[in-house]
Amino acid sequence: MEAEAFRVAEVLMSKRPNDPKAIHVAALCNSQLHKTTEAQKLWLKCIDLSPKTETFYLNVAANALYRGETELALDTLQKAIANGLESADITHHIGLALSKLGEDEKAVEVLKKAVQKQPTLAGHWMLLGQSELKLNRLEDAKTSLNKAVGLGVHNRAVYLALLNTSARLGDKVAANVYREKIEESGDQSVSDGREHFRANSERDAKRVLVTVLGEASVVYRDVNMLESAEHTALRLLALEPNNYGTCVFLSELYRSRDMPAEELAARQRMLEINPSELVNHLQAARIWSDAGNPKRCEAAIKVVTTLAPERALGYAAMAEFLVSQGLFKRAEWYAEQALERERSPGGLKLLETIRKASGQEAEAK
Amino acid sequence: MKPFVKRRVKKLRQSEYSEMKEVTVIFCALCLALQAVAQGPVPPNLIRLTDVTEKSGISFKHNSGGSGQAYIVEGVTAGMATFDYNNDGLIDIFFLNGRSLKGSTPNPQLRNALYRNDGNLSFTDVTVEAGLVDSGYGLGVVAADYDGDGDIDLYLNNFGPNVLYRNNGDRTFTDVTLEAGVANGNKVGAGCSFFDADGDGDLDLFVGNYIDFTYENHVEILREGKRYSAGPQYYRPVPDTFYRNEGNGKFVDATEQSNIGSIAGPSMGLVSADFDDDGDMDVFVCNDGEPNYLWINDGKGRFEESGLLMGVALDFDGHENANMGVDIGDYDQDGLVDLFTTNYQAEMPVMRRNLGGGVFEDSTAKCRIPNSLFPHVTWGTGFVDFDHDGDLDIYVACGHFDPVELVDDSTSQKVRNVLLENIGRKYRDVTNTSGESMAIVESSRGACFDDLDNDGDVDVVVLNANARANIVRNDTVSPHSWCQIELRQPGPNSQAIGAKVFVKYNKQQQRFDTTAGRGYQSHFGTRISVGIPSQIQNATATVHWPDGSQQQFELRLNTLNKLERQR
Repeated sequence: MEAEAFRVAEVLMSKRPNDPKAIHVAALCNSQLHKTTEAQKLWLKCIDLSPKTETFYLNVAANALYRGETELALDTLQKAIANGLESADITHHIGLALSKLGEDEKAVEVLKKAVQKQPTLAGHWMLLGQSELKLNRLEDAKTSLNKAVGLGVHNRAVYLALLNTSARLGDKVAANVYREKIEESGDQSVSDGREHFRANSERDAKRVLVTVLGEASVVYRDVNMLESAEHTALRLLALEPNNYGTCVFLSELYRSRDMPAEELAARQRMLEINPSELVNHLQAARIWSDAGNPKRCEAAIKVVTTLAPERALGYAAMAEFLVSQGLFKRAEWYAEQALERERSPGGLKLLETIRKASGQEAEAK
Repeated sequence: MKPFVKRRVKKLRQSEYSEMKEVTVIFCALCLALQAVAQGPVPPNLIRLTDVTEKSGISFKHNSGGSGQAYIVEGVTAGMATFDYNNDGLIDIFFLNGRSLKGSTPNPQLRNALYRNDGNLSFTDVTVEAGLVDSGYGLGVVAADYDGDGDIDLYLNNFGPNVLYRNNGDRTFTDVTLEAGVANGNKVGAGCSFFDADGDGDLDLFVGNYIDFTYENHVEILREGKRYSAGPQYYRPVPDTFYRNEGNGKFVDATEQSNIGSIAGPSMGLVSADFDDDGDMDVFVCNDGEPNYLWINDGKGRFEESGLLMGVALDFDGHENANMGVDIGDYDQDGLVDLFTTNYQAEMPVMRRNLGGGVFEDSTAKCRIPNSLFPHVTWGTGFVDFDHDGDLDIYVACGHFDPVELVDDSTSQKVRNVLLENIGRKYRDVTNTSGESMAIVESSRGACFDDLDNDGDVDVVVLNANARANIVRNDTVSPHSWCQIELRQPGPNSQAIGAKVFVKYNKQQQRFDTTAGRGYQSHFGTRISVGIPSQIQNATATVHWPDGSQQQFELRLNTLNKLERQR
């Protein structure tokens, strides 16, 4: 799988030698397979070709951090800022690099400004709390870390920082609570070493190949090399049949190319993966309708009404569909049902249209 | 040792297939915050370490005994010890070695090696005449006077049965494993430590056990036609063993009674000291890929594992590093014993600063442990004041167990070791300016630090995997003073293992703890070496003996001080 990942990246590069997005895919592949020098070189080339793309700076920084070159990471992020790129991701990486360099005062300064501007940045709150802990600002750390938890961060790092903060504040009860949370997250049992290794290596290799295929398919699509985009995405789907994102990608690709049968297949796969996603059923209904199969269309919409009987969505869709089929009496019933569930101007307008079309002018008014 | 296949995944930015994260533009004055750090003038590095292996008479070449199978034990061999086996005032060297593993051609030449120090850094191989002819596969070693007869005994922690050698006091040893009852079954060994756990005055024995590897459950890792070592995560960890010294030459397995057997981790290097300063000896155990253990002693030889609560189990980001070696020292001179641990590649070695009150902090970034160490696997380590300027520098032995450069360009199997100079509670990498010995490229494991030529500074011995060892002379020309301290006390713990020594001058103090077993599954440093800044004329040592009593001594500078306990 690793060889295949390299091959996919190389083919893409050969077709798009000066396309930074294509070079990015090759860099990503090299980086994930621990060819970090080559990855660095490729991402620096990406920056040369596209100095306004934030991703490339962030990846040079992440790669540099992996290589222990924290100063290079910081330098790269500064260059991003010099090029007018200021973002939450960049400030997060700057905070991380400063923290790794022991510059926690500066990290706190950067991160505090970030969360003041955007208080929902959970990762920033966590990093801020960690930096405050390093500076022994325990109450501040506790506040920031709890903010992070409140915003959905539930990892070992945040609980460890909270444990350390509590221990230093002398709160043994809280420290023990966090200790339990950390211990809960670390349960690893070895059943059979060989099987464990086989599973791990296959998983790692697949992860790399899936990443490269996914990235490559996007590049191919963006440059209108749609056959390549399709086949690359299909290969990904063969590796990960439950990859919902790839199904979405393919269905949109097929729709843009007016390939309803293929789009329908992709949509049906989406429904198999996530049968409760109402929008997918409606998209399938649309395809059946476009394909001249009103019975399948109606059946698809009925599924929506049964999956979400309390919502107006399915009833309204059915009413619209029945109008398109000239079945006004039935359409009126569905429109009324939709209005019972959600009284909206759109729903009223639909009912008015139906009644007018069926000659019920008075009722329409 | 984690295998290359289990590595922390870099968080890279992808496009539609990555976990999408909303990127919000914020306009903060980042550039102002990123101004270069103002740094004061730093004095030049004086440390000079010279390789003198050729002239030393030491020809020991380590051999892991591999047959190309990459058994997990091959990668982790071996530790070593420096100690004065014949009480002649010169510190001798004991190297552990591998043995022919299954599938390799039996090689009877493979054995451990004891080198007698004849003075002037000249050594003679006395292994056979000393009777140290154990045929086990060496992993860890500790040296201490377990029977209180005044000479230093040796315990070997092997892959296979362990061995206790009693020093006969006549330059020979006797294998007393069976009568002492410390063979420890047929396990994969790790570090080990002698210390008085139950306060009865004699030295008990803590034996680290790694994982349940056998030839039968060997996990084979093939990659591009080459075999690589499987890491500990593919095997079951084995609980460590605790032997209580009965004082009559016999030990009793008290693993369950002491609570040490209640949990199992893949142990590697370990060190004992009074980490919570409550007057008894605790044990810190490096675990390979799992949280470290800190066994806190209740004073009677029963332990509770408190690593997480005390802040030493994980690194700052909550990662379970592959912890290899460990040393203790008071790097920030606050009178508390700190910990420095070495790790796997793509993991920083971790400095754990003791804050007092039973709490440690990960101060790796704060004390500027350089990121140049991040890519490498790190093993043997020691806190040593190489330049006598009054603070503890750090030596780090590096090297991968696999030819990792074939599949990962961030490090290599053979790399240079690293030297960090303490420049006032912070460290700088002085590898490039500390003499030609630091240019040696090998895959190092155990490293020991002692004054081998009795010139007052600390020299280095490095065991290199499947290669010749290095003897490194400290040639630092320092304007500073020094003193060395050896403790002696009557009774069964003659070297006063577990004592704390506070060296004081002006308003400063340095703390040293005597311990048996440290570094990467090694033993060194029973003789305490202290650097004293040049302007100091007088210094005292307050010794907290293992039973808690205290005594103060005037120190003579630039010489060895033998401090005898007065009853």
